[in-house]
Amino acid sequence: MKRQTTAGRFTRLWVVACIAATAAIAGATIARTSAPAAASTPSAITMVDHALTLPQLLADESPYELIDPVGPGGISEDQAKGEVTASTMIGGLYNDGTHTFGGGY
Amino acid sequence: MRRLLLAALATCGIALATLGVASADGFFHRLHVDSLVSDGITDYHSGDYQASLGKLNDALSLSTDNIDALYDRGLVYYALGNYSAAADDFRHCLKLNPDFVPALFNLGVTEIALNELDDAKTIFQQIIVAHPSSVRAHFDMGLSNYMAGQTDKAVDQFAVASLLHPQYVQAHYDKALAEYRTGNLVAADVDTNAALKLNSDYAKAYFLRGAIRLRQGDDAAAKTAFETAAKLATDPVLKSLCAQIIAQLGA
Repeated sequence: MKRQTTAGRFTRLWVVACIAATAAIAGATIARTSAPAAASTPSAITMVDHALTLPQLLADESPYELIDPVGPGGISEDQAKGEVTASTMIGGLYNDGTHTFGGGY
Repeated sequence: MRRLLLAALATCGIALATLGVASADGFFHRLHVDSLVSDGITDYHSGDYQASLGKLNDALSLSTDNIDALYDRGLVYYALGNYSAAADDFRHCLKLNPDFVPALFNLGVTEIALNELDDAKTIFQQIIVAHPSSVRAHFDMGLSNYMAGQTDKAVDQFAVASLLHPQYVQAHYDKALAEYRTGNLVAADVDTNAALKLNSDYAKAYFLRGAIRLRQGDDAAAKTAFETAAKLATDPVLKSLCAQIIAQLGA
């Protein structure tokens, strides 16, 4: 009688332990799968540094990107050459200290 | 004798008349070509690039090696985003006249657009050697260096450009940008301030100031700078970038 009670007790304990372990594993699995993984967002510095590689933040936005059209209705070849070689710009016109060139814009 | 004299006179008269007609033809031909080029330039300035292209193509069909029409068509192709065709026209100009430096310069700018940065640098170096005070050549050499990842050289070129022309806002800004890339935040800050002193509505400079403050750990000042940049920006891409970064800083 005593042996049967001990064996039965161990069996019951074993069953309870298995059920508890199963419940714990199932609970952990549900917890892991029910909440979506938080997406990693780039930091502000990463976003800024990427933005600074874009053409919008580098391109020459002045109207002087190219030298003006040449010919009848445009500027002369000398004026166009002056736009390339001038050392400075005054009021949108290129100036090398002695002559003022340009006039397209 | 009299008949011979009359015949000789008649022949000379016919020859002179023929020459007259030929030169009149040539004159009207040049006039027509010039008129087409002029109309092409007018259309270019008003932004009607397709019409401009049509006029310049017509001019070139009448005068194949007209260097002005070729050069101007190169500008139109560039405006239309057809950089390869633009480069071809500028190269053709240089074949006709190797000293035509405006075509050389524009070819350099086109090479930047084509991301042929080594070719661009070669061209601008050639111009700088011949014309050391060319602010445009130094600036565009700086752009080429920057885009090639040579930020130290870019700083040097933008420095020359801003020394040659202290009021050149873009030179100060791009120098600041290059200094930021080299990690020299103090110098970048100085040049950003110089750009803003010349143009207090310069959205990109505020954006760069925000970037500098962020790296300096001053999130509050960075946020203020990005907000100002967003307010002043007319480019929707820049506005959107500012909004995203402000949202990230606010999170």
